[in-house]
Amino acid sequence: MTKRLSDIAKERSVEIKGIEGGLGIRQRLCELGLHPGERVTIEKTGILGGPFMLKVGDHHIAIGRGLARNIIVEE
Amino acid sequence: MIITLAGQPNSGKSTIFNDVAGYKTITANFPGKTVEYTESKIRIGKEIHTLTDLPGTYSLTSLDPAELETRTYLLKGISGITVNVIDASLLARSIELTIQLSELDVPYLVCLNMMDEAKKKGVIIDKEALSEELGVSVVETVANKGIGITDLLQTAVRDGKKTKKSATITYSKQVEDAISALIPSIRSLAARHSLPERLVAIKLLENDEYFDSLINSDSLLEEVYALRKKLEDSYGHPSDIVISSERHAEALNIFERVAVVTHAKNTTTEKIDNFLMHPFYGYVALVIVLVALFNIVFRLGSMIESPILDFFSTGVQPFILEFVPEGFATTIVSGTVDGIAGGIGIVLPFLVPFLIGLSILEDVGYLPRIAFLLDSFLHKIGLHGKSIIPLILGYGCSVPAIMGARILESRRDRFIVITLTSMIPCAARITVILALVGIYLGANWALGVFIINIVVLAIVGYILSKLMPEMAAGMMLEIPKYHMPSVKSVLNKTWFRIKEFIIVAWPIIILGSITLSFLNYYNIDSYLNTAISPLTLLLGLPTVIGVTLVFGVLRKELAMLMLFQALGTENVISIMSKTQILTFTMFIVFYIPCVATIGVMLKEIGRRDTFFAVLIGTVVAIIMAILVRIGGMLL
Repeated sequence: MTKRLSDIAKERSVEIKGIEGGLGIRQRLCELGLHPGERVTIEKTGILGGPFMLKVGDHHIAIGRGLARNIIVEE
Repeated sequence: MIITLAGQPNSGKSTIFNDVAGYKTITANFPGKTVEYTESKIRIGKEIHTLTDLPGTYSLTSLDPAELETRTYLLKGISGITVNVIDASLLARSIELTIQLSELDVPYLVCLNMMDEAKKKGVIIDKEALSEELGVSVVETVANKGIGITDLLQTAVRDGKKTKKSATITYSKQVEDAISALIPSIRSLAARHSLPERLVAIKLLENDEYFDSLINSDSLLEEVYALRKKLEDSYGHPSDIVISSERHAEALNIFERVAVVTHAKNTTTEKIDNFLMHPFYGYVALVIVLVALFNIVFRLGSMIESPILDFFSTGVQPFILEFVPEGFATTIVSGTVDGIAGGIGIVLPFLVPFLIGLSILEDVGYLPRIAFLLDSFLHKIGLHGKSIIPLILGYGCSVPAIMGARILESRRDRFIVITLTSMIPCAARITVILALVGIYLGANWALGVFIINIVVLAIVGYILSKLMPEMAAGMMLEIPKYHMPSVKSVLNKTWFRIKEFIIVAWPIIILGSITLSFLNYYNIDSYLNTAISPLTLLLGLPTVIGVTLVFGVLRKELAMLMLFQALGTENVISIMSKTQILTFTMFIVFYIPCVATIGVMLKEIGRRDTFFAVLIGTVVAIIMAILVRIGGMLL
């Protein structure tokens, strides 16, 4: 089932299906390794609607909830 | 020869640079941009070469100013060779940038940095195989221990003198077909701008705005659109995502051919993060770190401050004045000495330890974690986590802090953060808070001033972001591994920031100080006191301190000394009530930043925005001072 990354409960591994948004957002997400087909793990979620910390490949990135809404994933 | 360092953020590029750069390093901006690079002359063997450190970039698109400038600089061909610095423990991801460098068709070599980290992570890299794949030299280094750097530079010089072509890295058949189909049509375009044909074709398929703007025929534009459409239809994603995913896949393929991962274990970083980024303990740790930082800085600072000031006022000043004729010249000289002493005695003792502490936190990798922890709070005032870094720097000196706001992508965020930063008590203002409120009203009141300051900044930030609504793109940053900071890199970073204070702020402080003694000499201060009396009366302050408020702008750290001068005593409490002391301090904390800060603001955000920022600060200062006055009357 496809969802948005922002809707995923914590500590799950999901596969990226697509990225929405303008060219700027797409490129920024891609350059940090968030490509379609990539598996990412949500490692930590910030309190009070804070950001996600993701494990992508062999590195970690923090991404705000707003941006996470642009990422379509499948559990 | 110019040797250029390029690589992703946190790859250790700057550590390599700092290891070999001399003290004559210069930091410059690309023409008309806020993107910075640093440059230094270095000696390699018997020859002198230039080493240029470009900003860290994840890729080379044209949407990010740093990436675009990096790409433009490399394409100009003034650099003899580019050193692609790679964090060996993140090899797979790093190769994506390497592929883009190879597409620029400029001579380069690869530096596998942090080899020790890679080994610890169980990543074993066959550097000959990698060299074979890319068709360039590969050198291993551990920059923070200084290992391999001489070899790296010698190899760079040697390769820079050769004209060997690097390998072309190919994409899947479908993408390669599109590239081949486009190349005949863009030949003349590429030749006209002296750009590699393959690069132009790839970038056009990738929706790159800069390359799009080079197209001057409708038929070519249509052809590009059609090829993009074809890629989009068969992959189901926009063509930029297609190319970048392919690049990613190719990077993974290369990684798999040249490296093996022997054991993947829970790294130390993850274990530390379970604590430092914990939803509860993370914040406890953050408070402890910040309180410890400020405690050390101010204990150390006040230990150093008074002997230096004494030395100037009882040693240097009388000594110099012996040689200067009485009268006008005396005022100029003592103003200059005061200005120099203010810089050495009042600002540097606090600024130096503060910046060292901050550079350590930065090099360790803690700053992005602070951004993560505070993101949701900053969201409440319409900003995001990254803004916290210039804000924290503001407690040291507003000048480097405002320059630090360059890390923010949007203009609106920069304006809001710079406005808020200018209202954060810098080291100079903190000494005023501690010496006036701390001594006459007690430590808790002083702490209260800091807390009120934060609350007010949150409110101002909230109002500003409501007035300037924007679809914030949100925060996105890498959370790097923890590192042992290298002494050299920490000292260099500190030095760069101090230099900003010395070059930008200090001369202005000295000039301000001379102006001040000049005004004293001609008794202009009494006129100013009268002119400013509506404000002093409104705030319920003694009229004699009017001049202090005006010229606090020239040198905030002197506001207190000027106050003593204006009142004719150091025992402030004998003339001013506690409410008046608090009103005065509150006003000094918020109102117009010092001239040096205004100077940097003009450079960073322009005349109009600086005017508004200063206006906001002044209005807030007046409101806060009046509130204190009213509070004092009620209690």
